[in-house]
Amino acid sequence: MQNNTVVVKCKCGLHARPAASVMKTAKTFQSKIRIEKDGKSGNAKSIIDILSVNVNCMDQVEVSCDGADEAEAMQAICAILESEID
Amino acid sequence: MLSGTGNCIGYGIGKAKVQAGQNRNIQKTVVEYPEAELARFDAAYEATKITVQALLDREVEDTGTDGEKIFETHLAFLDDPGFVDAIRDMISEDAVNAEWAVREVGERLALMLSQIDSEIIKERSADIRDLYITLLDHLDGNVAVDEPEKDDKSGRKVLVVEELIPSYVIRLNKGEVAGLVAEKGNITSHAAILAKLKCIPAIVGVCGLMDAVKTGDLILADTFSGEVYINPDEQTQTRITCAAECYETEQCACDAEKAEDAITADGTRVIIEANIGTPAEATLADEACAEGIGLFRSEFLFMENRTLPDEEKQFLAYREAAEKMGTREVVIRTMDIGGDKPAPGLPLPAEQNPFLGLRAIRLSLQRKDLFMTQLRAILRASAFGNVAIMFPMISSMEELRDAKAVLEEAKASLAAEEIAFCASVKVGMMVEIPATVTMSDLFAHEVDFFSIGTNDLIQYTLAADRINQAVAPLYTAYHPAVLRQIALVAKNGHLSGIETAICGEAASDPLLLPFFVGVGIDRLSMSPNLVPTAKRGVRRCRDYACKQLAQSVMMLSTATEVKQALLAYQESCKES
Repeated sequence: MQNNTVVVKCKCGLHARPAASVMKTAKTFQSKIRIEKDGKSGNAKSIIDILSVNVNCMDQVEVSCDGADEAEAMQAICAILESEID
Repeated sequence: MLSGTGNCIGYGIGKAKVQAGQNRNIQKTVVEYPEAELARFDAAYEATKITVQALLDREVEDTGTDGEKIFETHLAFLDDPGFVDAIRDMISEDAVNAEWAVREVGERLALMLSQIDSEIIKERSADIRDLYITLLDHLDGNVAVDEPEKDDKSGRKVLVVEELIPSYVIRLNKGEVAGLVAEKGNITSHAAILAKLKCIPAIVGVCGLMDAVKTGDLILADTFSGEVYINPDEQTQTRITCAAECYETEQCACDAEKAEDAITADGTRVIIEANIGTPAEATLADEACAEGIGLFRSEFLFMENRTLPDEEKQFLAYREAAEKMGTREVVIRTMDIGGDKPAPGLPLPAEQNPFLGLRAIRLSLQRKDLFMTQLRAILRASAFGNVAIMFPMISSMEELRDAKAVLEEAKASLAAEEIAFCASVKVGMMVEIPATVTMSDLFAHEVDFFSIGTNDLIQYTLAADRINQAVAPLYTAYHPAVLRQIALVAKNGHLSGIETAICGEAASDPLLLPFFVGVGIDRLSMSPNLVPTAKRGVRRCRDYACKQLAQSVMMLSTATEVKQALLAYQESCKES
């Protein structure tokens, strides 16, 4: 299992579109992927879960990936969180 | 008569069409063959996906309404195991009908999202509702295909819904519906903003609506007053219908010529610009043919978030507005925080007189770090369009010079880092404190333009708090002291060869327009939707008559007399 802490740079936080692209990307991996903030954690393969974690721009989140392709998954998910999409 | 909050774009008149929403009558039934029920659900699910994809494809071609983002999100919800698998599990495990499972799961998720402490996420609950309502419609085999009755205006319906939902509003076309009335919702919600973007008259937050209206009732909705009349008496019908006709005739005339410049009958040009609060609103300004952004309030960046916006975030917002307006000028006002506009990321001690306290430029000069960040962001945006900077609440020459010094520092730091900006960016100041009016001859030498903020100028001139209802009658733009000050600023501006703009509420007052032309105001900036009307107003002006009017009203001694004189002038224009 891999853990990583990143600061979310998406302009409006993980709302709507960025949350959708996190889910889309997460689904391409076998690993279990979770995003956690302030003790609240959600399955990155569910947009509803991601929304319920309520991540705003510049929030610090914990990403965990567990599975055969965890390294690649971690890299892909962090890349989205740290990009400035809106 | 019921009432709610309207979006101030005319009247919605027509027969009601009540749309069943999430509260439609669904009975829970136990099914014998869950597999068959699952198959029904899967068919409805596939059909819904096709519907949403079709809407998305349509929106990709249409711009400015964010429809793309909405339907992309809907597709993501449809792909979400937390949504779809939960429904399928419920059907197979509890052996219930698909309708029941769809609503149970949909409502549970919508409720969960609506409890999250974030306005943006709360709004997503409306998306889930819309999506499961579409699923229910497909299960019923009753997909709402509204046959547009474009040619027959009298056949247009007023849609009556429980809640205004973004994706629902976005698929409506202007001209196909007479209006929208919703029992729930807020006028600042995304859906209400979309209705405004689509120019659909809408009233939201109408208590008791769903119980009071049935399909076929006659609805008259006045979006200015927020009043909704249901099968009213003839007198009311005539009154509202007349008002609607007047409004439409005038609006058509204004719209038809909105792209033309605002030039008086004698050839004097007045630049009509728009006030905006977010970069997205620049689209509205553009559609209204505003000749620039006379005031971009930067406060939204500070008021929306719990943290202060960094340089990059501000830069992106300013750049977006600058790019949308192309060669037209975008005047960005530095933060006007404090007073009635608190910023969550910048807690300030409570003050006894916030309007006379630490706000706007005073705060910026105390917090030079924040000021520097903002100025750098604005300067960087100046490389992407025609950007100007404006300082709010200047009360003394020192403040103006200090602010300009920080601006020079910001320029130097960007130059040192070899970051692009427009070195000759124009610098203006708000004139909203009587002290600067009195000294406007001297200030005119040190800025590139004046912009009169009438909202504050009135309150500081008349010592009348503009949010205190008890002194509301004292607060008026028609006070001769206010008008004399406006005239003085314009005069001093012209003597030094700089332009004077007005960006307060008064700028869009049709009664005051001839006065502004008469005293030589160069620019008027207002809500985007009022731009076409103001342009038309200017074209009706005659320079000499306006000058005479301005001279005569400044000699009057009371606000009542001023208003009467302005009204009399307006009447005389109508007759001639």
